[in-house]
Amino acid sequence: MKPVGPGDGKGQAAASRSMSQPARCASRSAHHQAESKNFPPDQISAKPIPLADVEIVVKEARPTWTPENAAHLLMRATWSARPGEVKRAVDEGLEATLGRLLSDEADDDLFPEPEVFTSGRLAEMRREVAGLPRESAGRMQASQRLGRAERLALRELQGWWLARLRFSPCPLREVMTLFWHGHFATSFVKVRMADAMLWQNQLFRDLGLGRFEDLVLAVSRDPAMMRYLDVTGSSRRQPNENFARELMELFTLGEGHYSEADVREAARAFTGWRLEPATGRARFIPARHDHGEKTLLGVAGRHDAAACVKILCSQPRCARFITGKIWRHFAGMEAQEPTLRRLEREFSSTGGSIRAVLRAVFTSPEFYSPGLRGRRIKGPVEWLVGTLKLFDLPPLPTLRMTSALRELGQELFAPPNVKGWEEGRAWISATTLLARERLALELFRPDVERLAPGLREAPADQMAEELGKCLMPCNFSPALKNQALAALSEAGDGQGGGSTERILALTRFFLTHPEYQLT
Amino acid sequence: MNTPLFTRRRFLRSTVLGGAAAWTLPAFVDNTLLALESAAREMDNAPTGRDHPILVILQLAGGNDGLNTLVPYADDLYHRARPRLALAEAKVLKLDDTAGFHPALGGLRGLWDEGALAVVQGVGYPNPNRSHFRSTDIWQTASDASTVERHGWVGRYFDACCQGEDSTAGIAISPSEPLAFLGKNRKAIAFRQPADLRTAETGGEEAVMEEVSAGGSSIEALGEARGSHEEEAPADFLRRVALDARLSAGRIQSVTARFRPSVTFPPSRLGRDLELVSRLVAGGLPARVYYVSQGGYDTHAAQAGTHERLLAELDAALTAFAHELRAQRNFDRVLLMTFSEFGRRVAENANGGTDHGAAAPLFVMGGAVRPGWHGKAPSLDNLDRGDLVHTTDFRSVYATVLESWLGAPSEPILKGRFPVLDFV
Repeated sequence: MKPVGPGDGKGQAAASRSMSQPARCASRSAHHQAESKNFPPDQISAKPIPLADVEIVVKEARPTWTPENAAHLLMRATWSARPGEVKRAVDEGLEATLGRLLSDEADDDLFPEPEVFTSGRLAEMRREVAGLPRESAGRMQASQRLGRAERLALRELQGWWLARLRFSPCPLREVMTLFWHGHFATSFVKVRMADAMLWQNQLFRDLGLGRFEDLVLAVSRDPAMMRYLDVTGSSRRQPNENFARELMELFTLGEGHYSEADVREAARAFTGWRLEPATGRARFIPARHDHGEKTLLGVAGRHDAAACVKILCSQPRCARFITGKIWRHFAGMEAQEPTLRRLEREFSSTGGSIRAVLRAVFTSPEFYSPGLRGRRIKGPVEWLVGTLKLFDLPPLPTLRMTSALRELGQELFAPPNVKGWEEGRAWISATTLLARERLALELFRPDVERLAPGLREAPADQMAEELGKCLMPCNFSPALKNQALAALSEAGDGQGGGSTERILALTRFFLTHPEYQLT
Repeated sequence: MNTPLFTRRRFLRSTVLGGAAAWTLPAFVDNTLLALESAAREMDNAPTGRDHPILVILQLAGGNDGLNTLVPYADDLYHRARPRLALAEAKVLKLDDTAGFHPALGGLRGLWDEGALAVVQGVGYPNPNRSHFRSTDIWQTASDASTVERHGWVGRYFDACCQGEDSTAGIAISPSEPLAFLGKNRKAIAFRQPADLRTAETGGEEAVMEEVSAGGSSIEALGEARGSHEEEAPADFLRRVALDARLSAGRIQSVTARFRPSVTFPPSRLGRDLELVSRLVAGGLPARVYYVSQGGYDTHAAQAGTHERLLAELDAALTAFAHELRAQRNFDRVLLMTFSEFGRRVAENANGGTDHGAAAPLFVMGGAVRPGWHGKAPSLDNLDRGDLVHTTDFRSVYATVLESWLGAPSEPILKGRFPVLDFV
């Protein structure tokens, strides 16, 4: 369907009219018979069709629901598309699958928080340090002990989140939690409080599919974010601009859509917040807040933090910025203009519902276009957890996983800077690609039986085909299969290697192939 | 003799000749194969005829105390600010009648006398940041104190100037690529020792070569894609990086196995890392920038002993490196610069150490260096909240290295104009 541009005038409207007319006529004709006095036939063709109506027809086009499309959706949204999962999705249909993926089912009780957090030990150690005299040797030692305890707690937190990423019954929600972690990038390296990182993680999980404005407001009061971007202690006498700037540049609008004056005004709106040393939580102190008149993006008023967030999130630019980023994350490339506009509309008309935007992404025909499939590079966490899911393996010892992720450039809770992680090809360098290949063999020991039940008796050709499709559902090709068979024969297959050996050799081939990085 | 290299080359050639006559071997594969072959020939440690300049960046991580490295021994303010930590005039290795080196830097003193060492004084930047991470990022990305840059300055140099080359332009002896090397196109490789580059069992060069030649049109696609990496399809991009990575890894491993230094390097980690760099330089790798790091300089407490040990390690490793490069007749091609995320406070603290500061001197070493003093010594009585005020912006040092050494335009790479100094 040709995109309809703005301000195209009658000519374009006429062209689209001729394309869309049959459908409308067909649906209207029944209606027309019933209420002919309202819709005389000659008037339908005489009136230019309003733009909105034409796009309604476009919206009705749904992607056809094939196993390939189902696998593509599952790989992108949940990092895994095992045959059973694909079959279930195909049987249920796109709508029901999306409903399931976007559900709000709580799963906290499946993943109890590590004891170091529930026991309040860290807060206790912090109080101890705060109680000792400054510059004293005792304080330095207690501080070092606290630092070690925080780092150990962070490692437990990383393991806990990896377990959630692996096993959550709501995988898309976990994927979005990671997305928001990269978007509202906050690093333990500066924050130094493992429990604050946990609270922020829960915030992304609880609010990440809801209204964007609610998410942004909650993030502005999140202790980890407040520490990371120096919101804490910002007072009306000395407003700190760090958060205000990143809020506009990185979190809501993007560079070039606000002025320095806007940054200064917004900074005033975020004054008065303080982190309580005892609890680590944020508290608002009215006396330190700048209650005065402010003008933000042309809107005047006695804006406080909430008002400020509302103004920013209602900007049309915010809709484009956020929906564009979400699309790029799942699609791996830029969207065409009509899709972008549909996503923006979805965002604006639902008050910024991320769930609605995701639904629009995953029901957009462009998402399923051939040019998009199998062309997105997996990030390190997706690569690691996705492979565990594919092989139905449990998470590895936390230290092995976190050191692998560090080598590959994506350490949970430690994005490199406030801009988060650069995705796509930026994940790949000589070093990281060699590391992915090496780690694939070191980390993953699949159970052959569960991986390929019934394949043991199959001829090599069929084995290569089925294993390949299982491991690379969206970018397996006959060329790849031939390479696999060639590698197998060169490795001396047929010289006494049993079928188990053959399956393992094929699996190793696919796992270490450069194209395994694609999804 | 390393026969597998010949086998692969013959294999690839024969496949091409045996196959469609219209195929030509893409230049990058050809170049790298030639390089592999030349490395495989019996050679001693003489330079292989490559003559491009090489930059070695040595990071002193933690914040090196510049005042006790380049000591203003004649200034009373120095001694008054550091009753315990100040180095006695009698111990300092005097370079002139105002300043001298820490006593542990005897080797560097020798290099200074030989005219192979330059010191740039008072290097820093406006609005100094005293956080390790933030300040290191600022140095690595050549950003202002208030902006966050995604890419490193050397990465931007690679993007601007090393596009045509398909092998790694940067080599870091470290567990992961430093931010300085990060560019839009990732053209660097990082490893702690050559064994880290061992490739996967069933991967290996044979499989990739096989794939390249068996992939039919993919050779042409790979060859054509050279010019326009942006439009390259993801699968081709991955295959190209994989091939590059393997060829670089193979070449690195073969070179490091083949070339032995004639000088004995100290057994410290820095010594081993610089020895590895010297072997890679001897092997004629096309890499232009090397990166090594020495940690431990964050001397908040009990500085005297720690700092002496670190400087002694630094001194021994740099001196051995210089001697080895001289023996290889490569000393004129190599420029080594040190950097640290900040210096330290002028006044000592209550724990026998110093806290995070700002400006500090840095060293530049090499056969082509214009030796001696550069920049201006920062004033000890005009401090900024207890810290030295910089007299040279570190980006001037980068601009000098880019323009006068690497021959690259500094303004687009550093996103600003910084005056070029004359230490090289």
